[in-house]
Amino acid sequence: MTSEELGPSTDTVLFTDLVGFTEYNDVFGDAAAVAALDTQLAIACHALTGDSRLVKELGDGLMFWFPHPKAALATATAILGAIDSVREHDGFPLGIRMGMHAGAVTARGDDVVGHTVNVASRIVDLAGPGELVVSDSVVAALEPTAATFQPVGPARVKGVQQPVWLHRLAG
Amino acid sequence: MSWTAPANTAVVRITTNSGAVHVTAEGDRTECWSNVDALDGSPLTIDGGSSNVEVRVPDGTDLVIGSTSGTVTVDGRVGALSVLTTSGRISIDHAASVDARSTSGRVEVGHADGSCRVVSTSGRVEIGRCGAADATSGSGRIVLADVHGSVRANCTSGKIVVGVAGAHDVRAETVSGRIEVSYPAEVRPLVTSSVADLAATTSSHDCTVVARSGSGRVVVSAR
Repeated sequence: MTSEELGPSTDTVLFTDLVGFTEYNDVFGDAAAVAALDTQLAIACHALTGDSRLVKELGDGLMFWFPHPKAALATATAILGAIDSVREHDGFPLGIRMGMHAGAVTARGDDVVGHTVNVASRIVDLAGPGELVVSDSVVAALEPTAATFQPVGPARVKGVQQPVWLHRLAG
Repeated sequence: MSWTAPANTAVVRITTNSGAVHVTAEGDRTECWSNVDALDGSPLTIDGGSSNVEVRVPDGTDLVIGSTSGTVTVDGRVGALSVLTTSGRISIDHAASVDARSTSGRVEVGHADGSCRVVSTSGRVEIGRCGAADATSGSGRIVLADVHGSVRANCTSGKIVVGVAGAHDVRAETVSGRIEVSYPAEVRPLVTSSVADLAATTSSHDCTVVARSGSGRVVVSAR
């Protein structure tokens, strides 16, 4: 499929966040906190495929770029599953939440910036532990059979006139 | 101003920027009414901009509501309900199911016939009667008074209080707060701090409680 046939940009940005990390660090100390970050990073790197990229670490969160929401969804579900597994079997202490948005991004060195990044960073704040919340643009770019999403509602994002309609990955 | 929801959907979408949203479900109503114009298109969408929005809908109507800073109040019995606010308080009387999220506002749900999912970054979460419950709060306490299904409660720095109506599994985690879970006297839960421990147990039990608190006590009691 050519880029023309894809229509609007399918760049996709995913943010993750470890829920309660700051308080966990306060209670259990730096060594435990670093171990949690290392586990998250190892799981995330293992889940990446193809041209997808971990852009940067942001405290206890991660920011990824993907060429298409399909790749982003595959990585996100792999990370969710792996975190669930280490929580159940290895006592990993924290849940992970994720926010995803698709649209044009601008490269700035190794970083990517722009409106799509800003929106994705806001979406993650509205997810619960073990949850992936995505925007309408992600759902629209995926095959209807790719996943089941449930409506979450319209999020108002600073600087954006129209609300961004959000959905949660069911399951 | 009254509108009939399009035939191909029973969902009504309500958005507002800084105004409050007040929805009332009425049993004898057949059309939706609002103090602001509905937008053309399907599903029926009401956008209040910066104004307060007052909406009346037929009993059981499915709703999706979004607001930046206004409070959201839903009175009467609605259908599947999704609410999203950035900083407003959410108060829900009765819904078939609930998905409510607020970045900094308190969330109160009186009654959800089915599942009730609440995410609040820094506000208190209070749910009365519901089916399965999934509640998350960053810094406010979580109170689930009468849960008739499985429970997941996750709090960063606050107390978790759960009243379970029957033999339903509970997973409750807080980094720094007390966890209190109560069951009817006839229910025998197996209590542990890790899922891995469940596989190793051979004791007889009706359901499981996995409860972890970094610095608070865990109390599971009969009532």
